[in-house]
Amino acid sequence: MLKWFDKMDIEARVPMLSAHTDGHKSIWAIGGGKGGTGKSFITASLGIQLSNLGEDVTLIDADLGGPNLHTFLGMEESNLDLGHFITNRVTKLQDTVTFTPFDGLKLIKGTDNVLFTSNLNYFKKLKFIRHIKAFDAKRVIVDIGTGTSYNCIDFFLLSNPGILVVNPEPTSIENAYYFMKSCIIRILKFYIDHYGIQDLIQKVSSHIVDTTKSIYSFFSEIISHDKFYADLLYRALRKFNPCLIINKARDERDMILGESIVNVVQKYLVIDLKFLGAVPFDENVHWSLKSFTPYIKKHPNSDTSEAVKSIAEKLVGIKETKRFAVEA
Amino acid sequence: MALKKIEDMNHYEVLNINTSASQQEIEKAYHTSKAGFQRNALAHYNLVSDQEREDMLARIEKAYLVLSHPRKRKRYDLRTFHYKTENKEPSFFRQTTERLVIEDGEKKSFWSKLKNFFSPKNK
Repeated sequence: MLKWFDKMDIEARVPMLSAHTDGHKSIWAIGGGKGGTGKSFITASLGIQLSNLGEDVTLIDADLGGPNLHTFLGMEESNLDLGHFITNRVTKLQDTVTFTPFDGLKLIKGTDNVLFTSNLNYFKKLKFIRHIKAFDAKRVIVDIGTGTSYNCIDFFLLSNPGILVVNPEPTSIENAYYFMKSCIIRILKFYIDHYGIQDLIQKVSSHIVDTTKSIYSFFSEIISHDKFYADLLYRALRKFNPCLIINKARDERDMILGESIVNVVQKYLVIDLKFLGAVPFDENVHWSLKSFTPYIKKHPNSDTSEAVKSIAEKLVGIKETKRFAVEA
Repeated sequence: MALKKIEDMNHYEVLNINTSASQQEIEKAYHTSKAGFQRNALAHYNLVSDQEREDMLARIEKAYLVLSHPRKRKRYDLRTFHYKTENKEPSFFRQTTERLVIEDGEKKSFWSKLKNFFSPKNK
């Protein structure tokens, strides 16, 4: 049985698990695992729509390997960017903010100097996370890169909530599941290390059949071994509530896909995923990008713009909750 | 919400709806759930094994069969949640043919007290 002092400190010790507690501020991270799903498009469009709603928004381009959020906003140059902060040429992340052509919308541009920034070491990442959490803006949207590296996962975990952008294609869905599983395993790992139950997990893992790929199989097995720790880990995981956007939806089935994914995830990844909505595919996104004009500005009344607006309204209405506190 | 194995989920949990869900909500949940677990559906792609998918599809069908039928649903609710047991109306006719022994409660308690007093245990 756990002693009271064993249950303490995990949030204080692991910055990724300690969400901001300021109820008037949101940090949203846009991720999804696969490249080309429209993460940067959604980030830029959400930023514009939120600024249209009168919100004070800062976008951070944390795609360290290939930043291009500024291009979606029709911007080219800025004096300062994220690279200046990462390489210690400015002391505060706040100092790298650039104003955009949209009222209330600011940007921290990704750096061109990807060679020195794409592989952040652990201490630089922690510093970056600390500065994002302390950032002085009501709404912060972090555009994170592709893949399931610890950098991507940790930027996603620090947000409240993280938003997955998925296309209605097998490759995108497959990568989104990898991404969610990586997040879940990262959270569980923090708690397993904290409670020192590696032996139990090893015993449980040896019983899981190789063909099963879901987190449910892990929990189903751990219930049989130790109900107490199964409940403890489950409660930690219940605080992880990402959201889902289906981007480039082309028909009615793509629109329904989001609800179906929520249902599957709830049962087999044991987390609550909230479906924010589907954004219809529009060829004009491509043409807007080519002309360096933000799509929302060029097509403010299109179905795609309206869908992003509706998602922005839903997000503003989402009530922030304190995450990852161990209730036991 | 407590941690629960899928085999222990009730029909409402399988369809991911409240116990007070309307017929329309049941219908919608059934179609959404079913769509997610069809053989060629994208929603379960590379996450759920074929066996798990088929089992879940069977559970969804069974849940719908019961919950979409008002009388079956009522019977299922009674059996699953027992919420009617307290408000159950008394039967008009006797349910058994056994001989009834009606004793005076007051008298019985007096005699049992007396018996206990003189029983060897109390000595």
